[in-house]
Amino acid sequence: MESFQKKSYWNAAGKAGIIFGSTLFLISLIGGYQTIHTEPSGSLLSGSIIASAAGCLFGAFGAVLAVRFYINEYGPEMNIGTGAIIGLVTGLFISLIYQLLGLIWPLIDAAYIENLQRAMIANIEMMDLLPADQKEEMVDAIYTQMQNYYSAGNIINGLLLGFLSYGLLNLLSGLLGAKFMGRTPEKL
Amino acid sequence: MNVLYPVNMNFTTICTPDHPKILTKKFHPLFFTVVFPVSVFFVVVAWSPPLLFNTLAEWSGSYQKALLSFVCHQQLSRTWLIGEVPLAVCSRCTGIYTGLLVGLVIFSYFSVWVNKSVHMVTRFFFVSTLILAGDGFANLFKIWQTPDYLRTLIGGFWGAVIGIMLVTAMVVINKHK
Repeated sequence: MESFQKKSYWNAAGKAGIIFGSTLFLISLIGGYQTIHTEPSGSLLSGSIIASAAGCLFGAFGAVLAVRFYINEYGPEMNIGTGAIIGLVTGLFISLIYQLLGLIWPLIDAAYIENLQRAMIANIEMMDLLPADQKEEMVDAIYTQMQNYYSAGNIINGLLLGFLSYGLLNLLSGLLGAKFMGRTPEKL
Repeated sequence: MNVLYPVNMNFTTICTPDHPKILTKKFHPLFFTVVFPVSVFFVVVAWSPPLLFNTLAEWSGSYQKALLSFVCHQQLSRTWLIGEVPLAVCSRCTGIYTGLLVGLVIFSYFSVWVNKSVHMVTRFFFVSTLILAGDGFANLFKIWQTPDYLRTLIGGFWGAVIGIMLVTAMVVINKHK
């Protein structure tokens, strides 16, 4: 009797999601603290230059690692559709871990949100080229966002937007990972 | 019966003097249902703020900015402005997403030849990634400062290469005598 092994991609996607979600959060945290400890220059989020350079698009490639984990677990036999699904699920995990850590961190450093808000507002107030009414609107927007940091709407919004951006980009990278690292059954 | 699985969504036959065999290409259904719509989605989201908003404050609170803030730093000093409103992503990411879509459109037409040179595609990927990362780190460590148009071009090159890779992944080439 032929043995049947059920190939679940949740394990691979979960592991890659945890690694990438945590790394992204760490990068954004470095950027956040740099924003807090940098003199306001008038450039929006000027202190987050390290985070921006390292984090920009980094999260889109979590699926490549997830596909590697999947291949290590089950072998290279997979089609590109499986890679796409692994990517989508990896994006879900990345978004989840990133949001979760983002909610936990202010409990560890209670002044983090307030300091970040102050630094961001100070930066906006230094923008000389911006008209006063626009400055005020942007400051209000940041203030409202930070005050509602723990609101259900803000959390759900962050999760949905994170899932959409990371999910779709990881879907593409998962597909590429499956094509270039995996083997279709007929090639084996 | 192969009715429920529409693999032959786009079926093209090509025969050239260089390739006397008839080459047929068929796109995987994911190309039309996922890859192409996702690319269009990111380009539309990235370019739409100047068309929809009049002020920087509106841009700052927009969904386009919030959505792409996960994958781009969106620093105003490094972002293209149309009128007074910036795009939703920085100049480099604008190049990447636009290059991806352009690459998909152009190279899906030439997919037979692209598919026959997969090894070249992977080389292009490594070279373009090296350029993209090298320029990014050089700017980060202030070795040099790349102007916005060059950032867009470098990003566009990388995006187009990813487009070629996706086309390669999505096309199955068959040879018939």
